[in-house]
Amino acid sequence: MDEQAFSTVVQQQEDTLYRIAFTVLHNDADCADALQDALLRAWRRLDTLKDEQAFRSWMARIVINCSRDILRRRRLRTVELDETIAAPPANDQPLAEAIAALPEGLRLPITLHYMEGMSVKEVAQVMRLPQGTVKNRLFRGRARLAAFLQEEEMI
Amino acid sequence: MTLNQQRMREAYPQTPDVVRIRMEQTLAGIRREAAKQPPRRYARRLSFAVTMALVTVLAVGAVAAGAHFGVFDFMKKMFGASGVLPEAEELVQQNLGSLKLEHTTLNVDEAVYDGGTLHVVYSITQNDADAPLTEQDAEDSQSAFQLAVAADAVHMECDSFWVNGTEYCMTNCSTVDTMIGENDGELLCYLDIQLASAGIVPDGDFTVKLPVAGGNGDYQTLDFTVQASGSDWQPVVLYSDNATVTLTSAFVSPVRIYATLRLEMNADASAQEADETFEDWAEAELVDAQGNRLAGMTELMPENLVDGESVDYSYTFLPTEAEEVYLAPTFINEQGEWAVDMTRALPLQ
Repeated sequence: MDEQAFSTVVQQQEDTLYRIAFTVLHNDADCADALQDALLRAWRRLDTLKDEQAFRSWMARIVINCSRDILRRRRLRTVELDETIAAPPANDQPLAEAIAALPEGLRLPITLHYMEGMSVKEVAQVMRLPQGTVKNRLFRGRARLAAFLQEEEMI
Repeated sequence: MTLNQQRMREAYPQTPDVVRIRMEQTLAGIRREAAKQPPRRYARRLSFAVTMALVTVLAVGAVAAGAHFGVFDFMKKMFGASGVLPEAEELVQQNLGSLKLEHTTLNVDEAVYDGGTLHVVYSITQNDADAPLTEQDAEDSQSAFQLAVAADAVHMECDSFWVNGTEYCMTNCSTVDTMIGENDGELLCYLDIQLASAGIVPDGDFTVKLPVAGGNGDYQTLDFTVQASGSDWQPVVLYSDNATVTLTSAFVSPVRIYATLRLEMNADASAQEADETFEDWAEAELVDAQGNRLAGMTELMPENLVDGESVDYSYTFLPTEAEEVYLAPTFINEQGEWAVDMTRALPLQ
């Protein structure tokens, strides 16, 4: 993959990469930093990507890593893993607030699977978790969203 | 109503211009650099200009000159509080090694090895500088400082390093923060390398080489020796009905507490049992003998994951002054609440 192809693929996935970063960071300025860092890191390590078909999950993993690095640097993440975060302004504000109330461990698989359309296997690869654990987290995440929204028909 | 892709996307904001513009600028920088360089060069390592684009991000806010800024000062700057105990000062080692290049000199100002992570503050100093750096010097690619750095091919990215002569490749061990130093032409850099999570447990003092300049496999390294007491840790094994849990390493220090765990499911364990066991240990707590929570987890890294069979977890916790420290899995009890399972707790010291 040369620099032009890399740019094209990244631009096609721009919204996806932003949403993944936003899922971790919930702050646009930090997302910009994380994505810049991720693009540079991905370009540098492009030779380690053996299968270009796996670019999306490979890139998603890098964005998650870089986003977590930003958290480390800027102390947005406290030692509590389940910290709550403010929901962003969105067209579906109740769902936005419900998602924001999820811990990252549930928020990420929900985002990757339901929003980005990744398969359970792909989410498992990105998050380095067993597929069964991803399924459990999707179930628990949906249950929490449903409880939050008080809409039992969701599940 | 269902949880579908369309509704999910309604819950997220549109990609803002600030992000789109930054991504396009980054891609434009990559394309520019790629056009200038032969392919092999940028496949191996970022050119100076692209690296400095990253450094510029890191350097934001590093405008005030820092007097003798050390490891714990950087931790405090990044995390709001260093989170270390007072006795952590005893682990600080200073002026461990230097590398003099034609235009710059790199020096390991301070290092702290806490049994799990090596924290390093090193300086990059322009040799002929006659004044402390300014913010503009640090960010302007045409400043005398940055031209000197470029001339020596100094970079702040390390995706590999050597410990006692053995090369290890690891991402996320690059410089994570910078600070303008008090001396003429000096930039201070902080990086940490999580040795324990990579299975690197030096037996006593160890030498480190950081490839901080050069490229194409021809690196100049910043070499230094770190004092460390050898670990006499003996793995602790816990057998349960469906799994073997081995505490492969544990380091309790006034900087951080680290534990590395191997979970191996029995051959007859079901996928559900494996999921539940993995989950219980992924949510493990640092507790005292009575199961009271002692300190928060700051990082969990799963490694060597084999679906439904085994996983290695590397934990990092804030330090505690408690004398008895246990790592205990959690589970959801009959009341539907998270609870610590002391029957499977493992002593860390």
